[in-house]
Amino acid sequence: MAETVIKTEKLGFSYEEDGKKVPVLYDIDLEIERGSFTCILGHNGSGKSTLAKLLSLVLSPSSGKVVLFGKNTDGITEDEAYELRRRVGMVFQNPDNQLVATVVEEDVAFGPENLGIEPSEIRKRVDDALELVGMSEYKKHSPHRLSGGQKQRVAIAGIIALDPDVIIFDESTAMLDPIGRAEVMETIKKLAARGTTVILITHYMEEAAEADRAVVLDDGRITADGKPEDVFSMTETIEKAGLEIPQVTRLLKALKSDGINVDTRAIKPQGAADAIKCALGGRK
Amino acid sequence: MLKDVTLGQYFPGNSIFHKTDPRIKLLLTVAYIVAIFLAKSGAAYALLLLVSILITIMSGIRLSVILKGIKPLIFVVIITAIINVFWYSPPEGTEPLFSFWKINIYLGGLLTALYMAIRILCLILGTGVVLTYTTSPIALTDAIESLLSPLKLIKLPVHEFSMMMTIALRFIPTLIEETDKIMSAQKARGADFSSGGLIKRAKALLPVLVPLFISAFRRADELAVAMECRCYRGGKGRTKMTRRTLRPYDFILVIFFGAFIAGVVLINKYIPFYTV
Amino acid sequence: MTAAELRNVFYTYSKGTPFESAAVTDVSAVFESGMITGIIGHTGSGKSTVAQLINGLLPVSSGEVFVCGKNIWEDPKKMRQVRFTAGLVFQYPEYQLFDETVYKDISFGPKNMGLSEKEIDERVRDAARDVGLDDALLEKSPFELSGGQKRRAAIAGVLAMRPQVLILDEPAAGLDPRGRREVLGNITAYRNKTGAAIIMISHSMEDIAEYCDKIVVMSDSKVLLSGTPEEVFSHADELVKTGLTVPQVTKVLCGLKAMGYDVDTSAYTVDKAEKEILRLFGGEKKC
Repeated sequence: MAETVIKTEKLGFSYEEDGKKVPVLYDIDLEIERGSFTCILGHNGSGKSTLAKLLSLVLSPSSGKVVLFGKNTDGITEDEAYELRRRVGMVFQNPDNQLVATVVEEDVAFGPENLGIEPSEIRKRVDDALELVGMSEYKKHSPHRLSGGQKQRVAIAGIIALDPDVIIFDESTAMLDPIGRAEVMETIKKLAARGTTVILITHYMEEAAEADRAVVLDDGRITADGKPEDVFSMTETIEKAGLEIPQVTRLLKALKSDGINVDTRAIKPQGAADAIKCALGGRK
Repeated sequence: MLKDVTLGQYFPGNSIFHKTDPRIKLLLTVAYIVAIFLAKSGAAYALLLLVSILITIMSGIRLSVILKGIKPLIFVVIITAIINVFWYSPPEGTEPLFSFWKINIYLGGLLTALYMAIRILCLILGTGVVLTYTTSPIALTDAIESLLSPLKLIKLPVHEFSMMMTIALRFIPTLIEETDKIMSAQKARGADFSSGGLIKRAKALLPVLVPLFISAFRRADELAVAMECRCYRGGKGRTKMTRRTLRPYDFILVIFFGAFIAGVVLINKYIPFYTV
Repeated sequence: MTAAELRNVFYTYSKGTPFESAAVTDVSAVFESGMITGIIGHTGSGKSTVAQLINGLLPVSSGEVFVCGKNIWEDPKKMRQVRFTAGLVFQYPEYQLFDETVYKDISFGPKNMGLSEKEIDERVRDAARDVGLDDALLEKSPFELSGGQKRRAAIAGVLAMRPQVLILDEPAAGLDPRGRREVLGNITAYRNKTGAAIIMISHSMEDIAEYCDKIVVMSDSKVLLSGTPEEVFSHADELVKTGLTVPQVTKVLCGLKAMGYDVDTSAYTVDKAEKEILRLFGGEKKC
């Protein structure tokens, strides 16, 4: 079994409003393995972004603990937190609000510069990161003239340049158009294939279909956890969590209830077409 | 539209001015301004004009850009020129060049006007070419930070100041775009920004300013978290991707400007024709 | 009945500057009362520009725009009236909320129309009900609402003007599935109640397929296709070629077609696709 990079134990979080405690997360137990691609699904307000912020040490738990790379993060020093923050990178929702500089490459350099790395090494990391996200030709451009998807890819490059072990994408595709979403998903898949541990937070089921594991968060509790195709077939849980069963799954299930013996586990259109072909046998 | 306004204009290029270390450029700009104010004799002003035109050509910036930069100031130049011509008080016993009705026009007045016009023109050309047109805003803030860094010794937040400038430059276009959008959205609900008196107009802006401020605060908040996640903790221990070292053309430019100032001083002294 | 119409409309951005670019080229389209017309296309295809051309926020470079039978540029002084008739909800409208209470914010439009207090009150409450906002929320600050509630409050601000043409730019963008269904449901209900013409700009093919009666597809500042969803999705290949997606079930059918099955790829909802696939199985129902 691969190394556990992130582990939460009975992790809880609540914030205070008008003197009252408002709980957001209850007793979350979650383990993330090195090199895995996990998708955390939930509706807005389900606590999924709070969870992301706890894992990247932006917030501190109200109860329970977060263990990063085997290290309990409770009561660690500022310097240790700093190093852990580098190892767990975060890409946020709004691409505009995470870019600091007026030139693309300067922005990507921001993180490594903070680490105090040698200039030549920073140069190399910036070039490599921009290459990986496919934005090299824009390195001298100003971020504000780029499309949403391009900005988000620059933001991703800025995190890659920190050389993290884990990257958390906190609804990083929610504000993008379909082309931008596709670009960012391509980049995420590339990172996952390269061995980076990826945690993708989203409410888009098609994106979850790309992951090896889907975790459903509903009102602060994990209600499903497993392979995407297994999770998607849990119709009631998904609907209760305010999510939507993908059209493909709905179609296959409808066919099944029509009495056709079709495998309903496919979650992508091509897979569904294959399953239907299989059910059709030789018929044309 | 607001969107077409470009602040801190920078025109990428390959001239010697583009390549020079921005710190040097910042110092040279100061030197250049000093030279402008040192000029006294007619010949010195001629040199000033000549050098300004020369560096403008050297910078490779398109003439149309230069003219666009000068255009809004032509009015200022004309007004100062007129004031100088008419309000010139000559030394006792100077004969006017010509006079009509009650107004006397003196040679000194005309010269002062001309010199003033040259000064303003040279200021625009010089600072524009040497600094703003050929230096990216980020290079400029870096240069300011670097030049002011001795002040860190007396605990002045030099790094924070330059970081603030960088972020401001980054977000100006974003916020301008947002203002445009909010204005359109409120117009779609019947907001009227263009009629009524001053108070009514100021009041009409409230539905634009409130969302704009709220959004700016939200952005600031999110940016702060994102920066923290990218391991930002102030200027301590930071390095820079581009470490500038002085190169030959930096020195060429320094010598050139040194000669320029010396030239102005010498000309003032030895060719004092038409000194005002 | 035709509620809004564009006739050979051209619009050029930043005319006379180096940034000049065509945003809309020779666009003609008819929007009918009681119908939801979807406009779909990429970012930069000109679809958002069309929205602002219909209510006169952007001036046409040439061509004509009609709202309720009137050419809106005939008398530019009456443009405010046009904006009340053709209400426009911008993308992420919650970022334009500004007043102290939700009630006051929704009343901004009706107040600008110069209506009586009583009429304003009636409209504000009506609009809040249309988007499913509780009366109790009306006295709250709009900034205390949840994301989905903010969105609906902002939409109510336009509904309160009771527009006969309602234009929405990406009304469901960024919302989760539940929020999306609520907002799109509110819009459909408003159409059913008032018979207004709805123009919905979106890049979600699934939403467009589910909620729209007619579709206009824009690409490169021109109208590429228009018609009923069946007509438009029967051109699935063309849509894919311009980089637009088709609903997932349509993709399944396209996949089957590519395998050599004789299927009609114009089905765009789960029900329709199910019927089409059942046909392949010889219509049989093995129960």
